Formats: sequence, structure tokens, C-alpha cells
Amino acid sequence: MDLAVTTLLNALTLISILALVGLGLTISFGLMNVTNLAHGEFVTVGAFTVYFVQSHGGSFWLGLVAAPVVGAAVGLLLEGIILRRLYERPVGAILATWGVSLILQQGIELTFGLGAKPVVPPLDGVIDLGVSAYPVYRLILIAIALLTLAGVVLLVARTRFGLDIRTVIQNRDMAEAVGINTRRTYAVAFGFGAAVAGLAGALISPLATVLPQMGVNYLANAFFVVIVGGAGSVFGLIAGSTFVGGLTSILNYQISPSLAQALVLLSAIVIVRFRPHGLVSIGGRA
Amino acid sequence: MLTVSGLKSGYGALPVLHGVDLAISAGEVVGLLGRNGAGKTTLLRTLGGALVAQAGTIRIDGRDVSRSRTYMRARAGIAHVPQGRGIFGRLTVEENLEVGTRAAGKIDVKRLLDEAYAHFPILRDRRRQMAGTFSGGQQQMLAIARALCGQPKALLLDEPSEGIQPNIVQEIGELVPRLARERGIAVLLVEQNLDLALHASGRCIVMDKGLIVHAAETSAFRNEELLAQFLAL
Repeated sequence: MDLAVTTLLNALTLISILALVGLGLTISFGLMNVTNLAHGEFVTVGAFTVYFVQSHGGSFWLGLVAAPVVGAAVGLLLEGIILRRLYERPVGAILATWGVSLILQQGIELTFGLGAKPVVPPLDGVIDLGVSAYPVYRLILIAIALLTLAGVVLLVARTRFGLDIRTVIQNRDMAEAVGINTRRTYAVAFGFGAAVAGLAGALISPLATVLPQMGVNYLANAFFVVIVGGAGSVFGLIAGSTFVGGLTSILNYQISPSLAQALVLLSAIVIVRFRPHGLVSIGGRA
Repeated sequence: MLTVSGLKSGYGALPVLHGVDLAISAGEVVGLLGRNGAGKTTLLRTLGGALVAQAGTIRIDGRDVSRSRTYMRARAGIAHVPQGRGIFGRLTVEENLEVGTRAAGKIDVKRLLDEAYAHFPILRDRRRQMAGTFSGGQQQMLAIARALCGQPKALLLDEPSEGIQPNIVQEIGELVPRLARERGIAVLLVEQNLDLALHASGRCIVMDKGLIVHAAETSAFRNEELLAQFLAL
């Protein structure tokens, strides 16, 4: 019983992180048809922001607030300087973002030096859930992730900007023709996805190994999430992260992590074979 | 209201418009006739901004928008209802109308929606319905209503009768001139359905090979000889 609860909570931790990282990818993939290989670096930037703030005497919470801001800034720069010119050239965008990814990794390594950086969790305690004890910080992480996703769903479904995004996803030319500045919508949506990835990096920083290359791993998994779930929809994102995160967590208890990863990839391939547009293939609705 | 002079455009290296001059005043409906391939849709797309003008000027209410991006033209007052209508099928009817108000700037959205519903009561009854479930005729009504929500000064309609049932064609034929008159909108109507074009327009122009080759009061186009000459009917 306690193993089941622990596995469930571990799965929820992983699902939360994958959903937050995948959000930006589902935006760039589903909205702009851009494959952004530098997306993992937003996670890295978020984690290093927390490290930077802590190493200068700031609290973890300050770092957690700063991380999405730094993530958004890096995202807006990437969109404004490079991606904006490559929306019509998807292959060019793949190469350019890969280059940016390498530059960011090396830039972070040059700035902060080699080796893993320590990030101290804000709370050390465990909480007794009756059947098992679980680290408080992880529960907070899950709560913040759920609140963020709920906020995103509300933003997309209820706000003026959300309506603009849903309109642009469906038909960019017509959205422009009714008076929406689609270039600005793209930029803001991209910056928002980068901010949430930065938040994910900050949340995971006390649990993960904070390295300049840490984003690569999240990038690959987030791509599974978006492709399995269906690009361009928040519910597809949640379905995809539940599938990938849930399966990985469960398999990790039974077999070696590499084999688990391979099995998750294999099942993702099977799903995409039968549902080429992902589990939630409506696209554009919320 | 809408003034076009020496307008040239085309697709890549393929020129289509060879210098179009045109002026439409507020409240006037001008029918644009011509054979397939004459450049009617290209003209509308160039005015709306989907195609870049290679030469010439487009003025709306005196303001030069020839080099403006599409959304800026929409905000300046050009509403383009393209062929196929461009409805956002996975938005509700009301959401379609709400994005239509983007061209009107930061303004009372609810008032604009109420105005649109006053012209199209059926849209109010179905405002929570997904627009993609509408029939062609209802979608055309919605597309015109959405364009009105942007408080346009000029309305470009590309084949509004295409693929819709006859009773709605007739309704559109009565609605378009009334809207133009009541709200002082300059309307440019591209239409293959000659009955509709002649019924709705006060004046008609004929395009051929990217140029305007004839312009006259609509009554003159009831002359069979003229129609045969320009439209090969």
C-alpha cells in the first residue's frame, strides 16, 4: 500500500514537471509549427536562476519567482532575433534552435563552470500521509504545477489573449484579417511557454542534478509528451504527460531506468502509429 | 472611402493585376464582375493585405495602407470576407464575433455584439454553438456579422453566394446594400451569381486580364449585349 502511494506521488511529480516543460513545446509545435530544440535550455536557465539567487544569499522562493521571468526573457530574445525569421522554413528553425541550444549550454558552462551545482530545497521535512511518509517539498511542487496548469487552462479558455491564441491556431491568415497582430501573439505565447519551462526548471532544481546539459533530457521527454498527447491542446498535454510520466514512474520500480525509457518510447511509437495526431487530436480547443 | 490607384500585384513572378484604379464612396455597393482568372480575388486579397502590392496605393478614408500589414489594415477599416468565408470552426459563434471586434480596437465588445445580433437574430440564438457546425449559408451570415463587429469602413466580399441555398442568397442580396447605406460602408462585391450582383450593387465594374475594362451603373448591365461582350455569357 505505502509503495503504491509513493509510486503514485512520484508519478505525479514527474507528470507535473513534464506537463510544465511540454507546455512551451505544445505552443511552438501546435501553434507555430516550429520544432524548438532549444526548449530544454529554458529548463536549464530556470534551474541555474535558482542556483544563482541562492548562491548570492537569496531564498529559494525568490529564485522560483525569478526563474520564469528569466525564462521568458530568453524565450522572447530567441523568438524576436531568430525564430521570427524562420516560421516559413521549419528545417531552418530546427538547425537554428539546435545551434542556440549548444550556445546556451556552453555559455552557461563558461559562466558558472564545470560540474553539478547544489540547490538547497526550501523545506527538508517529510509529511506523514498515514500509509507512508513523503517529502513536503515534492507535494508543494505538485501543487504549484497543478495550479499553474489550471491557470493556463483558464487563461486559454477565458481571457482575451486566450481567445486570440485559439484563433491564431486555427487560421493564422484569417486571424490577421480580423485584426489580430499574430506576430505579437506568437511572441507572447512563445515567451509564456519559455517562462513555464523556466518555472519547471526551478521546481526540479532541488531534486535534479543541475548541469548545463540537464535540459536535453527534459527536451526529449517533453517531445514524447507532446507527440503522444497531441500538439496544440492543453488537454493533450495533460494526457501525454500522464502517459509518459506515469508509465516511466511505474516501470522505474520494476526494471532499470534505461529499459524503462526504451519501453516508454516503444509504447509511444505504438500509440502514434494508431493515433497519428496524438491521444487528444482535436487541437486548438483549450 | 476606399481609393485604389495603379495597383499591381501577383503571385511571385506571375503578375496578375496590371494597374487597377478604383474608388468606392461610403454607403456604396460596387459589384466586381469578370471571367474566372480575371484577377477579382487577387484584387481583394491585395486590398486586404494577404498579397503584397508591387506598385500603386491603397487608401482607406484618406490613409495610405499600401504597405501596412494585414492586421493594421483591418484596424484601419478594411474587412475582407474571403472565398470559403474563413470562419473559425472550433470557436463558438459568439467567440467568432468577439475576435471580429479586434479590428475595432479597445472598445465595448458587448455593444458591438449586440449590434451584430440585431442584424442577425439567429446568431444570438446559437451563440454558444460551434461555428463549424453551421451550414454554408449560416457561416456566410456569421462571416458578414463578424466583419461588421470590426466597425469597417470598407467591406470586401468574395463570392458570398458560393455554395449556399437560394433563400439565403436572396437575404444577402437585400442585407448588403442596407448595411452599406445604414452604416456608411463602402462595399466591393465579387460575385459570379449575376442576379445577386445586379440586385445588390448600385454600380458595376468589369475586370479582364488584371485591368478594369468597363464601369457603369448597374442598370446598364441588364443589357444582354454588354454582358455577352464582357462576361461571355
